[in-house]
Amino acid sequence: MHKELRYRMLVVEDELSYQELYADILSAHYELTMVSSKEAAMSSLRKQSFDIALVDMRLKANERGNIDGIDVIEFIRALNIPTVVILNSGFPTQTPEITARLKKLDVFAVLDKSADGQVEKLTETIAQALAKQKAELLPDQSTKAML
Amino acid sequence: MQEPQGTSQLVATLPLEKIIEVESSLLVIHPGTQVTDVLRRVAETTNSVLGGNFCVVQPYDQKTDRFLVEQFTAGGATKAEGFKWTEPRLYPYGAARTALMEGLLVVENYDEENRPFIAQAPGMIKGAFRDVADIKAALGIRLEVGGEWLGVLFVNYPEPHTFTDEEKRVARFFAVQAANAIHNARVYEREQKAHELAETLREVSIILTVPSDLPTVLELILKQLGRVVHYDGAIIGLVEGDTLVSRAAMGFRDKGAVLSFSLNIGEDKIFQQMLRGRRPIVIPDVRTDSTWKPVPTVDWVRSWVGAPLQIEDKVIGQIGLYKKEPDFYSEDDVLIIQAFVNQVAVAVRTATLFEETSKYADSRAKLLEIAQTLTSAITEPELVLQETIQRTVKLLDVTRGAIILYENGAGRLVAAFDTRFGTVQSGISLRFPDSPLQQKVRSAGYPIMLVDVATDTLLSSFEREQFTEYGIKSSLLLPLIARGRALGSIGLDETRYIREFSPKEQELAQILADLAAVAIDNSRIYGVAERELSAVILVAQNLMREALRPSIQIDHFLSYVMEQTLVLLEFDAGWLLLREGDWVKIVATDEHHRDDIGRSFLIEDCISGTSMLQKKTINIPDLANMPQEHKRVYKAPLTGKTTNSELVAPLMVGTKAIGAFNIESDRLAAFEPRHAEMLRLLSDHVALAIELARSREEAAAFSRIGLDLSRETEMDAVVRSVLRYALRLVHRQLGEKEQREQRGYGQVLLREGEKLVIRYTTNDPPTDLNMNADINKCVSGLAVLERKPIIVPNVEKPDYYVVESVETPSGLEDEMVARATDRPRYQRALEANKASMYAEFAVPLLANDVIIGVLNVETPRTSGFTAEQRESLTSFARSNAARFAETFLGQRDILHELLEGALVRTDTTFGQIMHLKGEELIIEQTTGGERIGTRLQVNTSVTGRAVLTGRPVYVPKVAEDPDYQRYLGEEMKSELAIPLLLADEVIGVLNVESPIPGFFTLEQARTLETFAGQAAVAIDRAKRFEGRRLAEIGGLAGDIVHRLNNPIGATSMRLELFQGHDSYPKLLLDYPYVGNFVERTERDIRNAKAIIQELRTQLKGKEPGPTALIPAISDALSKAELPGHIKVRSLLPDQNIQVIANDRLINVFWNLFDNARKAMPSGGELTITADTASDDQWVIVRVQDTGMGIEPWRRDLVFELGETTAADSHAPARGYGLSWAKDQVMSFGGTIEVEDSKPGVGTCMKLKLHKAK
Repeated sequence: MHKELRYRMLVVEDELSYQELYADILSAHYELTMVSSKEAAMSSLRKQSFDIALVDMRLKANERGNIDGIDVIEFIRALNIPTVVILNSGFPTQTPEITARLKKLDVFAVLDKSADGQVEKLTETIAQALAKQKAELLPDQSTKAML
Repeated sequence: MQEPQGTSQLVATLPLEKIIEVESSLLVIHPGTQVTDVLRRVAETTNSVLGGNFCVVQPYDQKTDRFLVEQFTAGGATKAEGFKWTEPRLYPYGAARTALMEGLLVVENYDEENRPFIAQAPGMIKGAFRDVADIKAALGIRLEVGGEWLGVLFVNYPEPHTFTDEEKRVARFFAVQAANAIHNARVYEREQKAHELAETLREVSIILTVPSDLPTVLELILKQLGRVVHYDGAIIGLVEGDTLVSRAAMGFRDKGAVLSFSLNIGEDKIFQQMLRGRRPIVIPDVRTDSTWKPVPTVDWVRSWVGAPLQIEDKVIGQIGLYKKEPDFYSEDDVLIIQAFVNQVAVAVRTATLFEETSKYADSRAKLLEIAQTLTSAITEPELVLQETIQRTVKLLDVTRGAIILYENGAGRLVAAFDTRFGTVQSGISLRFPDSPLQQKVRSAGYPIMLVDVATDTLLSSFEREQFTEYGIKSSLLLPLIARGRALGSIGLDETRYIREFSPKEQELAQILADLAAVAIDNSRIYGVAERELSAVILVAQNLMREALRPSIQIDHFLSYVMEQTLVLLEFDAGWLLLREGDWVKIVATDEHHRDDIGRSFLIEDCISGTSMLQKKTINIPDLANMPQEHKRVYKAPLTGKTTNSELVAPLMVGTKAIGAFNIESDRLAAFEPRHAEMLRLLSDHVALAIELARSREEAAAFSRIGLDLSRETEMDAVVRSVLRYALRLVHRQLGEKEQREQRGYGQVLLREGEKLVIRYTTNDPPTDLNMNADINKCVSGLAVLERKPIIVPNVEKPDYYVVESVETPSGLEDEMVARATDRPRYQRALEANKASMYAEFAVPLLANDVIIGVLNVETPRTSGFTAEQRESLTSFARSNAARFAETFLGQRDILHELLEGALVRTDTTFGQIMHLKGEELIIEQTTGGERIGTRLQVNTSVTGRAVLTGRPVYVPKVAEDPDYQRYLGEEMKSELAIPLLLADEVIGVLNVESPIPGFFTLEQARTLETFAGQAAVAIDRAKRFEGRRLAEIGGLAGDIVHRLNNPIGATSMRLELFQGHDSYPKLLLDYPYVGNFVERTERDIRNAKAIIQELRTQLKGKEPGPTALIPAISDALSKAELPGHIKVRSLLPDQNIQVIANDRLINVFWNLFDNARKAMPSGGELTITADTASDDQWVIVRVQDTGMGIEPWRRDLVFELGETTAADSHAPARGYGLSWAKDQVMSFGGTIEVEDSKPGVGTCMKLKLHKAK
């Protein structure tokens, strides 16, 4: 049987409950790399390329105002790689500083973790993001949603 | 297919581990990391990663446009150590400047002749790389975060080098990380500094309030200031008359010369400017400043910062810091100094007070000696005169002095002492006609000061001529008054210089004069046997010694007075009474009448008062047959047998009766005229000793209070202490121990905009706590509006007095100026409780057929109490008679239970248990606002009727019963309100009340006014701490909400996943319970999310959306209530402008308008414009005033926490002001800035708000 070419996805998430959840939802369809810190994310990004990254804004649960996730996205953009980025957030976006930084970073979508219907929303958003990326990178191929 | 870019080349150029190491190490800044460490780390990592010969980090300060002193370098052979300039540099040309301006500077093959980056600087000496000639290639990058420039980063190479795009990109990325790291460290360091400052201030305040003499305190201030701000020299100057006199100096070689330095205020432009602006002034370079006045013998000064020392609205001096380098003082330093000076002013005041008190201490021995000499010399009039004049002149350190007695319509010079000759002249008898000046002195009853004889209007031209002839420059004239009669005067003359005698000096001199007057008067008396006279002298000396003891407790002193009197005179009962307003209060008694202590009588309504008003001794030989006028007002002691004769003497200080002595005997006609004379003699000494003891105790108390207050930083603790001390000062309980029951009632109110909020109250229960009072409607508001103490002698009347300083012939005197409001302003917080009561039922409590009290219930029900309820309560009272009796005997713990039982039986919530004592009912337990222990008269209340009839009394409709009292509690009859002033702003009010009408005196107002300065500083300090804590709590709450969000969100998603599972429909069919379970879990999660959402909204405010601009501005304008002398020009377009904001926009504008109002205290113009045309995205609103303006260096600081004072009902009203406004505007996505401001011209605030689409 033809082995389906799976998209490589980097999930940056420090909360165990969400890590487990994402594994349950996404591992069947994507090649998941799960990391829980900024440093680990950077290291992974160096070693391999990803089609998509799902990044949590706050990566240190016990550090108030932590926005390590933004650093990770900045890092991705600094590497100049075409990884499409979805930002996960508990707060829908925040301070002028964060807004200003995000503006420059070409984030495909910002999801509110706590909103209703997130499983559906998440899977749909990922599909859309990959479709868009594909359209940009491979204009000659037809897009194909995974789900 | 397109390859992902960058990674491979980068990996090829740089080792991967290094990159990761750099990224993570630079981005993680641990708390406590120093900026310098970070800079060094940036240099090191740059070098280790990017290579090159060596790397340089050159920090830069955007505000001052200067490169900072220290460079950080790493690696390379040439300059491994960073070099340090002595001062920040503009560094206008060269590589660093070019890199800074351009963002990126690339030098690939350095050529001394061809330097692209200094092309604009043709005159510049050899190249920027002249120190490091081996550099051939360099890459310079600007370090910046969010538009703020932090410095430049250089990577240098020894050989020519062509930089690839990849290298440039990596270096840039690197610079971003480095800049962030530096920025974070700077922010952290700044916060750390602020925290340290708050702590230092607290420590300083403790140190400074430890009582000490003025020079010591001033030096301490300078030393402490040195902990937080650098200086090479520092001077504190205090205003004395027209000059600014150096009173303390640090760091100068010739301290003597510096301390002898003084400035004429009229000529010193810098101090003049400070007087106007009331703000610190910085002189970056004194050599280029034409207004600068050099300090003698000091030539090294280059930069200077000075701040005014202010007490209330008066500038009392200046603190100046001197530095050897120019351009040294930054805004940070100025902020610190500013925070410092409030503390300093209070410390200076405490020290001044202490200095004067110590003067007493120094002169204590002398005073005692004088008192002893004068009292022993009683039989030798000549000696009394000699001693008096000689010692007074010496104690006050004047040139000469003379005693003039008034006899038969003429003055007679009887003694003189001149320090220039050193001999006392007495036995002289130079008569001269009585002069208007002499008359004035005798009738004044207080010292009269002639500061400048040449100009003083009090002198007639003849008198002036005489004074001038003797070379007199200044003079102090003291009346000699004994037994309320003016005997003459003492004149003290100063010929050396123009001299202003301080209030304490005048007081000291007057005490001496009073002592002398008593001695002179006594030396003339007769009829007292010599043995008895010497006994009086001994007692008087004892009293004086006791009054002058280093530590004094007024209560103990008064008891001592009583004991000493018993030594002197034989009597069976004795009372010492002191005047408090229109009342006299028993303050000490013999041991059998201690119950009487604390009783007060109206001055017109007791024999002691009569004796005080008539200023004479009253002797009643037979109390059973006393004259009608005395019988009417005679008050029997509370306990003990009746006595038969009485002797009363007033306690006179000069012309003022401060109290009375009252002794009684069991024998008829026990007191003979000689006893009366002895008591009077003694009274004079007692009065003097009491006044002395009081004033010494007060001064000591202020130091003690200041120390106690400075230890507190918690707002609740501060306001509690403030009120406790205020009450003790008012009730003169300075020396008492804490545990004694607190008497007196009052509140501390803090100002929040146009409202006063009760922050502490003595009411129990504290139903009025946190209550708002409109400044324009309450008594305390008067204190805010008048900015002076307010006395309301009778709260039922609209009349009040403002305590004002008034110019009088003897200098500034406080005076009560009568005013009136349109209606009485007193508000009783507790009335509302009882306004709705409809029916009352009172049951007498009997024990062995004797009425011992009353149980009372009330209800707002119109149906009142049913017959069953009444029957139930009556039988409850009967069956529990024994228990009620127990409660009155001290078993207080069952009181509450009994009252609850009564309320349950009558289905109401309002009731009282009262104890019958004599003719009064005393409230023992209540659900209302009345104070426990309140007494009410039996014959004037419904409850009392139950006592009189011995039967239950039911009033079904209280409104129709004339005896019904809505409020049974102790009615407050008089009130004293003191504004709490910090610099020149009223931050709150200290309010004390009394159930006695006309209770508060000028003296109490003055005492509390002095105290209010300390209180205001303590409250302000607590506010700063509270603000910080609130911000922390806000942050914590946000954090918890965020963290809570995660598990709940995950649970929600898991549930969703579960429902989406293929097997779910089948599961539902097989187990209907599962559907139920999932549904309920969903519901609970929804609820939890709603709670989180609510909290989040609370913390963040409403989401910004389209908001109408013009109505927000007009609402804010009406809310700001600008006074008439501020003209408002509203140049707003006549259209509906929608901006992105929320309802807090009103408060943002209100804040701006309120600040404008504060900037224009004496009026001006406020212009508001809105520009919609010049920008597609933005609406630009400008708020311009013509006020005092903001110095350039303060422009950015006005938005910092604690900088502004206005508060509003939305923001936590804790001194956020503009800082809050800026946060709001930023949350709307807008900006706010000081667009333009010039001191003395005005300020323009510019607000940019998004246009709503």
